Amino acid sequence: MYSAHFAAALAVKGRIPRAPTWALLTAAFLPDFLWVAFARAGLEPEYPPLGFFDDWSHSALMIVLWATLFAAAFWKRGGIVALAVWIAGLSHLLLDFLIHPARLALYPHSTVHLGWSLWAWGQRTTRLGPSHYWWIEAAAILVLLFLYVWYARRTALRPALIAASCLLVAGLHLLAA
Amino acid sequence: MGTHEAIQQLLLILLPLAILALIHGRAGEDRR
Repeated sequence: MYSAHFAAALAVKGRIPRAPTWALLTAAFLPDFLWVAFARAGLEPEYPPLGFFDDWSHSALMIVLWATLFAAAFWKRGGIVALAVWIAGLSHLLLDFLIHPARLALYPHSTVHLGWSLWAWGQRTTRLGPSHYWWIEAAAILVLLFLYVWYARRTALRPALIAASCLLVAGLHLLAA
Repeated sequence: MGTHEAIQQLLLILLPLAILALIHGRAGEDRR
């Protein structure tokens, strides 16, 4: 997923505004940053003949580990901030669990995989135009932005800022249609 | 993954990330 990870970080920001936005967003995308680095290094091939493999960046155990390591760097800012960053990191697992190019491994090279093999189905276009994948991500974004708005309106975050953030994330997803 | 594709992938994430981080600034961070 792509835009949904921004929405997940914002939902955490709304609930725990003390957490720095950049840290939440970085945590939410950490496995993807690592995937780019690992793929570039040849550790995680993404095309045949070696096939798609992203266990080092995207297996369940590694996502938890990356999120924990990154969150630990914010411990000095307070336990609640570190917890927020950790949750943002874990959100990557929950979102990619729904639909991903390959089912998420439990740990690198594990034979146990989580989630469903929905990728091929997800790529098919629906009668409404975009693919199933696009609609699933749209539903996730809707829920997460609702949570962001719901929590953020009780905090110091200005309504214009909340609206602009929602528009940006929704716009990114519409561009992907 | 080639360098060009890697840069493209990173920019796709980093540009919106930077915008969201900039518009939020330090909003809410000083709240106790």
